[in-house]
Amino acid sequence: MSEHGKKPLRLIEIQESVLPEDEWIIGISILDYFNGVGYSMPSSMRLDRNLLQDTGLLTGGILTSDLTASSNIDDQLKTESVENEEEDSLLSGIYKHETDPVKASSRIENKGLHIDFPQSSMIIESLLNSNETANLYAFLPGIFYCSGQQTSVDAVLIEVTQTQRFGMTLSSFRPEDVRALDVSEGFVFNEDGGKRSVKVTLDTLGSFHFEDFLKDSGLSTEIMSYSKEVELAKRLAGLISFAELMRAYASSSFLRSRLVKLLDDIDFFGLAPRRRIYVRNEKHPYGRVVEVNYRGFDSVLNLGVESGISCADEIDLEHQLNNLVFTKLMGTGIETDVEVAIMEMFQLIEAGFKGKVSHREVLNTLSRED
Amino acid sequence: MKELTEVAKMIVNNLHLSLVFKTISEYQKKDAFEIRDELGLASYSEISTNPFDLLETVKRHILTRAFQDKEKVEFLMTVQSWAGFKPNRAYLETGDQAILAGKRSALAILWVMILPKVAVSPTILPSDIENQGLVTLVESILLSDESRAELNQVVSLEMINRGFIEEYFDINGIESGFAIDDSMRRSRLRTMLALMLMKGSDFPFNLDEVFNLPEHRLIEETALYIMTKQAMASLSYQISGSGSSRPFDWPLVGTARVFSRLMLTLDVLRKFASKMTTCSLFKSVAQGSQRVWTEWEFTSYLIKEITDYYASLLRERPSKGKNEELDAFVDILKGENIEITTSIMESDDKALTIYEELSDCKRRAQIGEKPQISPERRFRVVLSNLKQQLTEARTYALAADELVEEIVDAFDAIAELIEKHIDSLGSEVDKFTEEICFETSFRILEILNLGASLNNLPWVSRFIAEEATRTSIARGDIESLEEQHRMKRIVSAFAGGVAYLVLQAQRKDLE
Repeated sequence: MSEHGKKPLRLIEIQESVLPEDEWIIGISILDYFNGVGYSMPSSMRLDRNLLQDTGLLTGGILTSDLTASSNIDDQLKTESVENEEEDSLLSGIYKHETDPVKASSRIENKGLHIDFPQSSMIIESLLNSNETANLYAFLPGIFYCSGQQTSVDAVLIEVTQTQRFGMTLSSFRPEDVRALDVSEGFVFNEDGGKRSVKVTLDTLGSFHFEDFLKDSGLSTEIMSYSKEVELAKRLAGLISFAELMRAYASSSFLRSRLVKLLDDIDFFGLAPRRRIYVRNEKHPYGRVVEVNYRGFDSVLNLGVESGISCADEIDLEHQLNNLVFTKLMGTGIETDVEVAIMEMFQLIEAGFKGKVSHREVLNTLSRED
Repeated sequence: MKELTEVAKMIVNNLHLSLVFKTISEYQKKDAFEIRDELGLASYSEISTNPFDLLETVKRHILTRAFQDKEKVEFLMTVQSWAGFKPNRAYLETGDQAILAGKRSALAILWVMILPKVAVSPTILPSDIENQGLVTLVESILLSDESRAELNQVVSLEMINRGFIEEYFDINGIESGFAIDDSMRRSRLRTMLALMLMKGSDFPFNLDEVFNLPEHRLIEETALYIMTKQAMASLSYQISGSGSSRPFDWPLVGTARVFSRLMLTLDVLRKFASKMTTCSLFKSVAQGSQRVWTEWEFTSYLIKEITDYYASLLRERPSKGKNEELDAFVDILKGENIEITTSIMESDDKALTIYEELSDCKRRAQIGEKPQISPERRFRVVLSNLKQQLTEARTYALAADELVEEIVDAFDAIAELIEKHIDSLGSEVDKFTEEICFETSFRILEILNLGASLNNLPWVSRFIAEEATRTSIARGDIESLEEQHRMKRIVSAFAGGVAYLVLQAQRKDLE
């Protein structure tokens, strides 16, 4: 992360409806991290299993998806899979279950009479199987405030699904709905109707109103030939340029009410992880805030070796989230997962604010021009 | 076929019809000093200014004065370099030379640009357009230096005969300030002049295809552009009428005689237009391949032109309430274009059938009937209308009100379409509405070359919806945001967002 580059901390707004009363999410994130919104890549394991299903008609030979999990000691491919692990000098002493060729076999082969200890419950297994196909998530870590649940979260995760209705593709997520707000400058009308740019501070937030000048313009319902939105748009287009509209939004009262919620939250809770994430998927089509724990983060304290996210309430979601792999584009592009990304984002945000969390200081940092 | 002298007579005869000629006449009298004065170019700036930049400044200034159309001026400023001409820096030594070269080049361009308009008298019968010697004219412009010299001479002589003492005709100046390798000069100059004549006819053309035409085809094609323009002008002149004879002045809907004249003109238009190979305006794309419009499509085009004329009447008449009948009439014509066209094509007496169809529509409009088409069809019709209008908007500057009207039409059609399927959409109504609005907005923005602003559409739409709602609440127009209006409100919000982005971009273009 470059401290001297362009402003890394951005105010992000996610609005998926155009209606004023509908949900919004506002927060702080670093878009450089994923170069925008992160999209999950299917993990290699997953790919293999899908291949197995796809080539189910083929018989004979050795199924490649079984090779990595094979317990045959003579198998060449097995050793390769161990060597492929990235080498980390710090982690070299750690024993990893997943890379152990013997343990990696999904089946336990027993001979003769024995008592079968269930490795995992059948319910969980069937849940995992049913989750195989749905795995593309849009992911944005950072501190976000959700209007629907009226609480703050550590990340927004939206499963990208597409359905067809009457020839239209309905997508659960549209990249255009996420945008970085520039709050360095606001825009207001003077008493005399003139236009003026202002710096966005706590005092100037929310000082822009359309009604101020529409009131006197004789815009009454009787003479409106179109809907009031179009009528308003027509007038606006004549009065305010696009660049000005952007600034007007920064100083609009709508943004103010949202921003204040976020600032209040940060002021109160600081920059520590909230241990909550916003998830929207097929199971929660209207979005839900899920309580989570960060095993990797916690294990620093109790010297454990576990990593990954845990959701006490939803085992299947926990599995799904831990399977997601994202490509981090900040610095040298490497693969990362939900937990690591959230943790790194917290460090970056903390560094960006230098621990200053009062309303004024947070807003100053966000609106600083550099 | 007419002789060149007769063509020259016609040109000089019609000069008074061209506003651009006033610019030509004004600048032909101006010397370098006056132009310098007008542009506020002090002579000391010459050292710092490249003479060729000075030439371009003068040229752009004169062209902008003549056309006020940014796109056209931009085209004319760059067409030389497309054709391979390079600035001739050695030739331009002093600032005055550069100014005069710029003037000469601009005036030559203006002359070429007005020829498609003035070469044929507006009173000529459409069926006579092809006998006006347009091929002869195009030939003498494109063929060679000698043929151009002859044209210069003949037209200038005619102008003197007709009392234009101070003006002169000169198209050789078109290369002024530019140079090109001698081996390419003849063919490139030919193509460049053809492109200008095509631009002067106001039709879009495919540049690559024009460059690839051999000489005789290029002459033929260019003449076809001019003839098609003349036929179209004649068509719209007949629709709008003049003086006391305005056959489509609501509540008039023409007469059988008017329509038989229009059908004849349409045939002429079709004859020329379907021969053009480099122009996309009269082609439709079906299953990936382009084909020339059929008679059916030309007939549909005529109905559309008449509909547009009524729509323009509707806009011109001030108070909205009184024109409900005309409003309904325009709606019916727009919505049932396909039915009307089909019924015309099936009849033996086409002119009479159009008259009867329009009278029927008028009767239905007067009893307040709505067009009888399914929302799906209406949506398709509206979209194709929109597409055509917007495509034209890139060639001609479309008034802001017209643009808004088209946008509102498209979004109204969406609302109707969804209304009909609201039960089967169930809980997906919102999502479906958003998606179809988004997609339609994208098409609109893209046709207008504003595809890049799609990113901003969601927040602009919401911002406008928020402010509009707040204004209404503050005024007490609405007390609560009701669930059952959600769909319509989503549609309105998108319509507002698109309207703002489109109008703002248009405004920026004008500045």
